[in-house]
Amino acid sequence: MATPQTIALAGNPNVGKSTLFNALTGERQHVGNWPGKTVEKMAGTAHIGGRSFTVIDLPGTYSLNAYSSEEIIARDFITNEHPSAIVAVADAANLERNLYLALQVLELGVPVVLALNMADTARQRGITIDAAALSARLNGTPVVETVGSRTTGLDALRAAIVAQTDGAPHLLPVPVDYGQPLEGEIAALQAQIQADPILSYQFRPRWLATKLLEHDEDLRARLAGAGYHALIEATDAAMERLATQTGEDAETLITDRRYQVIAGLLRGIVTRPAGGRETRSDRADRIVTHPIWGVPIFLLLMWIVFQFTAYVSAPFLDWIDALVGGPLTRWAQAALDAVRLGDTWLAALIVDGVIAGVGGVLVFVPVLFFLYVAVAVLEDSGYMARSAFVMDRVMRSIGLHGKSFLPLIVGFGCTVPAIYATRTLEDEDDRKLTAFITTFMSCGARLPVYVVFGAAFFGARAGNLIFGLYLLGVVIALLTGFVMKRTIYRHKAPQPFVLELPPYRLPNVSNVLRQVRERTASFVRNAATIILAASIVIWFLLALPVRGEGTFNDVSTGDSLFGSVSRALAPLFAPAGFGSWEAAGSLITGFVAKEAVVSTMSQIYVEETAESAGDGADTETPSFGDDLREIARSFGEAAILTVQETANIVPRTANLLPLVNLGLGDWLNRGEDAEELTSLQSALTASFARTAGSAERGKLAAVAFNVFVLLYVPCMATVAAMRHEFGGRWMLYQATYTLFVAWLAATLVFQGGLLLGIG
Amino acid sequence: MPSTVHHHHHHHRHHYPAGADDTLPLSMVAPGQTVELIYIDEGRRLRKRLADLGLNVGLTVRVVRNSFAGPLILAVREDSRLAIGRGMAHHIRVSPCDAAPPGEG
Ligand SMILES: Nc1nc2c(ncn2[C@@H]2O[C@H](COP(=O)(O)OP(=O)(O)O)[C@@H](O)[C@H]2O)c(=O)[nH]1
Ligand SMILES: [Mg+2]
Repeated sequence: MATPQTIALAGNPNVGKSTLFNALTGERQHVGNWPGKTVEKMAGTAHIGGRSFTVIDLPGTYSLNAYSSEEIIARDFITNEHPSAIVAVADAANLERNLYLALQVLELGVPVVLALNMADTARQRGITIDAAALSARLNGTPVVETVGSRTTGLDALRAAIVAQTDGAPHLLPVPVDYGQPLEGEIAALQAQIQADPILSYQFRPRWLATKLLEHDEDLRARLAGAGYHALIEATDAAMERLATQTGEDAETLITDRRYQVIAGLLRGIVTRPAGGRETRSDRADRIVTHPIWGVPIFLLLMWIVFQFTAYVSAPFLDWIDALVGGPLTRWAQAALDAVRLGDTWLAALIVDGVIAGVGGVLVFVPVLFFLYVAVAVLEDSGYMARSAFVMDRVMRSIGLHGKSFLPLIVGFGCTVPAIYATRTLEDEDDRKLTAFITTFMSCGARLPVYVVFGAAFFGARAGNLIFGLYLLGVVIALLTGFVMKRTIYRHKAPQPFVLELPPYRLPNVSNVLRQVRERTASFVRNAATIILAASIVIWFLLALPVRGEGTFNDVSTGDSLFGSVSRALAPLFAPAGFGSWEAAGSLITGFVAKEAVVSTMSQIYVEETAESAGDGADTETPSFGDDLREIARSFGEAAILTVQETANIVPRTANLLPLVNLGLGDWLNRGEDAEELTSLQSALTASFARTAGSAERGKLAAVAFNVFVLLYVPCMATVAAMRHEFGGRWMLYQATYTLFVAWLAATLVFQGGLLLGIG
Repeated sequence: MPSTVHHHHHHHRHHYPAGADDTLPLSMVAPGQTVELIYIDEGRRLRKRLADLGLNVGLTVRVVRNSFAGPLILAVREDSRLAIGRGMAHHIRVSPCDAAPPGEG
């Protein structure tokens, strides 16, 4: 068979679509994005009986009326892409409500397989379902009971898929009898649609007629755009007639009728014990969603997520950083030496530009890994829905949905995973807005800058500067959200809060790991290009001599194009008090990665140190074998430290309580890495005082500089993530806005300080 | 079957007699009580959304959680749990079921 046939899995959220998808496709999967959308598209290949099928895991939806961007994707795929068959996945323990979507899919007239998943849960609750009888009532549509998490019933599901796609004449669509007066109006509209060859080719006329009477806004807009005004007017007239005749809206009539049909379909087929009991999930929810206890529980869990992204990921982050900066760089240099390119600019480009850039991408892998594990566990366990429940009241006061809180917390660790964490939000605009403001939450990479400046300018009072900066970030984030909700998104009605609370479940390990792997790989693929490009550009800027001093790839920073660009930008920062080329240059590299600010400053503020260090640089290089042993040893260490940091979450959390001060585990006796920064610190105080005019003003300028570091574009990995998620235009808006806010805030700090008579 | 759809009350939203009968807002129902949805005073989009989630007029639901603030939790159609905002619950009129319907409690 030439092209594989397409099968789509459709169903409500949390019914086990992805679990069945994994069971059907195994390792042959591919995560992408839906064209033009930021919603994840999961596609895979299934081989069944010598035929191969492309399987699509559609986003969860409750009906073919589409609301969120995910639901529109699912609906459009089902109605427009003509898959060879649709597997309608239903929760067997909640069949009546789940059949609401399945029935709409059946009305479309495409081949359907109805999978009654979670058959185990249904059985535990004493529910019995006569699948054969249900299949008979659905005109022979195959009905299969499955347990996705234990791959029970999968052979039957595969066989049903094959049967529905083997080219045999389609089964009759399941007719839903809407009764009079609806049927009369449906028939009239249907006739009008049938008279139009294009429309009746695109849509099943009866289906379109029903959808129009349901007042499907998306379809109405599409038809209006294509000039079908007469049809829309006929629809409106029909709806008016129905309303006066019955005293009900047409869509209410249709919905009620569907539920009646479902009740009829299930009568005598499903038996369940008397309901209304309190389930185990209800009991857990009494505490977890409690109006008072719910918030501290939520904050505690978010704190733990933050600990994972900030501390537990750190050992492997350092390991990758050391691996790329050490052995990998040496090996590349050795390889280039071997082909006699070792001294050329090409070697420098590869080593300092490309390899350093690759390292810049890879260091995010551990961070994202731990974030995705945390998010997947929260989602899979059912807690994510509760977190929205608990935080809704709080976040609503600034106009955001309860779920927006998680990304903001993750942002304290690293902005990149925070942007990806917005994926849990259903509303596209809320998602954009949340990502927009997460960049103001001060990430871990900004902290070293505050520490250096704090020690240099404020000595023992450095903590005040650091705390103040964190607080300022939160305030600016909330203010931005508040203002945007009242300007750009003014016309958007607040998202009504309706949410299904799935029962609590133990997360499925392989499910979690698969999601984590795919999502992390997807970031690396997408971020690699932009980060590499930026690293290469910066390298060229540093290598090009422009002031007649030095030669290409052998020029001091101040005489390079980088130095000139910094010099050209410096006056921009004069109102904020730090208009020196050194400060501007540090900010430019800070755009590559905030981690780079301190190292750039050491490089350009303390040039003498760099030169004297150059003498001792020719110490013997370790052998290849030494390198490998060292990599393995440090890997083992990183693994131990990861476990240690996981354990340290307990004392760190306890230490939040007043009067508790538990020691942190330090299994490898590392102690605190006391870094030698004194020469940098004295160079900084001197330089800032010189630029600003006096020592006191220098202090003020230093605060302004830190405010700028806090607020401007976090790094290019963030920019890449922003483009990956929201497209180039939003990325540009965001970058421009942060630069503007950073500049404004820094200037206000400096000028305001002068006005108050400081310095 | 606990959730057979009853159709005793049919009020078109424009003809609803405000406060003229024994209905009360869903937000005032105590936890554990079972009520029938009589009328949803919301826009057509939201009413459709609620119906898609399984919450339509004529249905019997049980209030699982209703505290002094924040959203409510309802038991809807068999074992589903639905959280709805307090603001919306103010706009949903319900009438208490005197005796629990068959299968409920
Ligand atoms: N008990 C039980 N759990 C299942 C079954 N299928 C999936 N699950 C679990 O239900 C949760 C939701 O599954 P998922 O595939 O993510 O649902 P989706 O939202 O429809 O894609 C996961 O924790 C699964 O492990 C099943 O047949 N029985
Ligand atoms: Mg899924």
